[in-house]
Amino acid sequence: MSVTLNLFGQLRHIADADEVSIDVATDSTLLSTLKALAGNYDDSFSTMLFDESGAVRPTMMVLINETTIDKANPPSIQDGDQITLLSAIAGG
Amino acid sequence: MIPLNDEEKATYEWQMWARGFGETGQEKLKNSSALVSRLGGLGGPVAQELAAAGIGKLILAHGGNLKHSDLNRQILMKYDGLGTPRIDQAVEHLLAINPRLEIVAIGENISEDNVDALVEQADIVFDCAPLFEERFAMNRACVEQRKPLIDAAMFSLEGQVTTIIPGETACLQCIYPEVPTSWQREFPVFGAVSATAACIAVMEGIKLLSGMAEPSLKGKMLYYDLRGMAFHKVNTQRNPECPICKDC
Ligand SMILES: [Zn+2]
Repeated sequence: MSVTLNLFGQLRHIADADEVSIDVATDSTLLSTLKALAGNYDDSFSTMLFDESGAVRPTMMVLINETTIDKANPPSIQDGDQITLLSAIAGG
Repeated sequence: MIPLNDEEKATYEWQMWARGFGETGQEKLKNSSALVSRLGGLGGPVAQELAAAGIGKLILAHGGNLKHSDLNRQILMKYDGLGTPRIDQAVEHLLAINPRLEIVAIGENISEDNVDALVEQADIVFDCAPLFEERFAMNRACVEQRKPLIDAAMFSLEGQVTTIIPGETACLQCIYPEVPTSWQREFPVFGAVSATAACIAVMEGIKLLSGMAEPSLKGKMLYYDLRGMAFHKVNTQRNPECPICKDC
């Protein structure tokens, strides 16, 4: 199945893309989907997205279909989902 | 409440025509105060729009002297002011727009040492700082003093604005539980992207201070992308374990 990832902040800067579509297995979780995404880029992307334990960083806002989700208990991923990653920004 | 004088009635006539604002809203704005930190690409236009709209008092915090790399966005500054304190140029610029404005200006950035006394002087706080440590200091002080905080931020062609009401909405540390390790002090920036966030933040503040309308971003984060001209709103979520606001 296919999911679309909308990237914001520094993640977009590293990926050099606003939006990325990837194919993932039908039983994919949020974490496995994000790991698959990170596999397309260099380590700085993974470092930005995941903490030392491999979990999504607590400062990363994750939306699925424009709704905030609980990263500790994410819903299952469906074909056609739009996952938005908002990295923390503080520029002025 | 100090009433509007004739000059103020003439100056603000056109904005008093806005539905729900009127002379009552203008009078409330005149009798209001706001803390703005800092006065760069974001805080500069925040302070400018508040001054032009007729807020009564601004408390301003911004350290450092003007450099060339500030001039693409810091619209309170002038080329002739290169090498001189930015706070002095900001005050001069704002008083040139609105000489009735009362200004408390300090030539240093917000820190845990000065934040409580600065927030105390303000009815509302506009967080426009480029470092999360400063943002967290304002957030903590606002939660403790139960003051509304408009948090605005940008990066490259993107921006975010949220209105934080302590005790009602998520605070900044509900959203970001720790200082993001990824954030770097130098970032890509266009002045127009910063000013977009600034103007949205100011309208949230004017709604709150004047009572003209419910702030639209209370408990919501607006995030926008000026590359694709897309604007989205998402709910922010309180963290019941948040060390800053859990007892608020
Ligand atoms: Zn909180």
